[in-house]
Amino acid sequence: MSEAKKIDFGRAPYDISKQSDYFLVRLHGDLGAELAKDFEKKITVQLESADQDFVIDASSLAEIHPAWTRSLMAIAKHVKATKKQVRVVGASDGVHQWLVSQGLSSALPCVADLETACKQLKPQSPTTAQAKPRFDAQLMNIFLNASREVIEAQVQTPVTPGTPFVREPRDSMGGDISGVIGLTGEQMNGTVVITFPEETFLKLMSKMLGEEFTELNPDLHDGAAEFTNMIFGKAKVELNEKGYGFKMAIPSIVTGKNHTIQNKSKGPRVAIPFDSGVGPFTVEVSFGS
Amino acid sequence: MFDPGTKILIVDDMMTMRKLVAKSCKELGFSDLTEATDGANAWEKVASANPPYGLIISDWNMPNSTGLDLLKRVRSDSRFGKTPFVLVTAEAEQHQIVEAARAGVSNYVIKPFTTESLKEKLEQVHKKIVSG
Repeated sequence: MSEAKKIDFGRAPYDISKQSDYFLVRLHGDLGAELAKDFEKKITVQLESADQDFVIDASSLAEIHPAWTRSLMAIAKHVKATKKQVRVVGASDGVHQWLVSQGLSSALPCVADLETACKQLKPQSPTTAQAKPRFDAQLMNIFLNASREVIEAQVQTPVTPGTPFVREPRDSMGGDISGVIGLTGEQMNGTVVITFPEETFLKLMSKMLGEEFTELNPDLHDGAAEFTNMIFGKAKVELNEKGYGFKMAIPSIVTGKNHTIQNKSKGPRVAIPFDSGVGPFTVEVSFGS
Repeated sequence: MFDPGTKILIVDDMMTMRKLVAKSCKELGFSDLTEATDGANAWEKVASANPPYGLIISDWNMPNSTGLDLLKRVRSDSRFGKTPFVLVTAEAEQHQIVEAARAGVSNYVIKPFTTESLKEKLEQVHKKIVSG
């Protein structure tokens, strides 16, 4: 075995850092026998307490000192016992050969680079690998943007969102006509409702269809449902990319002064108020598991 | 672009959307427009039309018989195998676009849409027909 690459780091020739999805163990230089013991102690603490996989970066090493055999074997044994995973990245031919010769190549497999290691440690599939989707600000922003884009594009009127607020379970929808769509997803179920005061709705429909409407007649009602359909259709693409697994549904309509809509999801009702230039409207989103 | 005299069938269960598509078609110079309220109603009109429709613009997400059902039915009849068929959809997920393409859709329009975006899609369909 030739002399290992020696680099004076002015500190221990390794460091252990916690990354978002794994522990990164960087081996920087000549790993002597004494340092091997110190390393083994520190890495054992991490192995026992951490719930994450490990990546060993050996890119600064030409070879591994025989004194490290015991430490790396301890890692391999612990990894197997706790069903964690380890990948070695940046291994030189010398390091790789050494792992093979010590019978560690299957417990500590070498991969081309960090990207490959991360992919193997955390296989990505939309519904299993990503963080469990939640009803949060990010989700609300998706609906806020979808609502604005739909009304602006379809009615050709500028739309300004206001500050979202939470509605109590028995609060009315605050308008005269609502388009409602029930959502069924792999992670949660919910409802999206767009509600217009009569005046706003008539002005939006007149602008969109190029006809003057002065009365909220049944022929116009489905316009509210179609807005909901478009908003959810637009939001759904982004939501499903994030793993929500929503299926499309047929929208329905509810009308009446200050009507209420039963919230089947039992989750919080968050309403986003908008100003359309021809009057206000709200988009309410509620989700429950 | 399609000839202004092209006979067009507009299919949507929502009256406002039929009006919206018709409005855009009129703005593009078309005047021979017929409306149908779902896939089944549309098929009756397609099967009995004489002369046949030169273009079908159909919503995808409809109760009873969807736009995709209508497309498959139209394509399965040799008389309408080459009838230009445009699907209008609020859904733009890749698997759905692939499904529509496999069923023989000529093009698709994603809602919300403008007269300009509809024109662009129809021009693409016409260009494909002309180039064979």
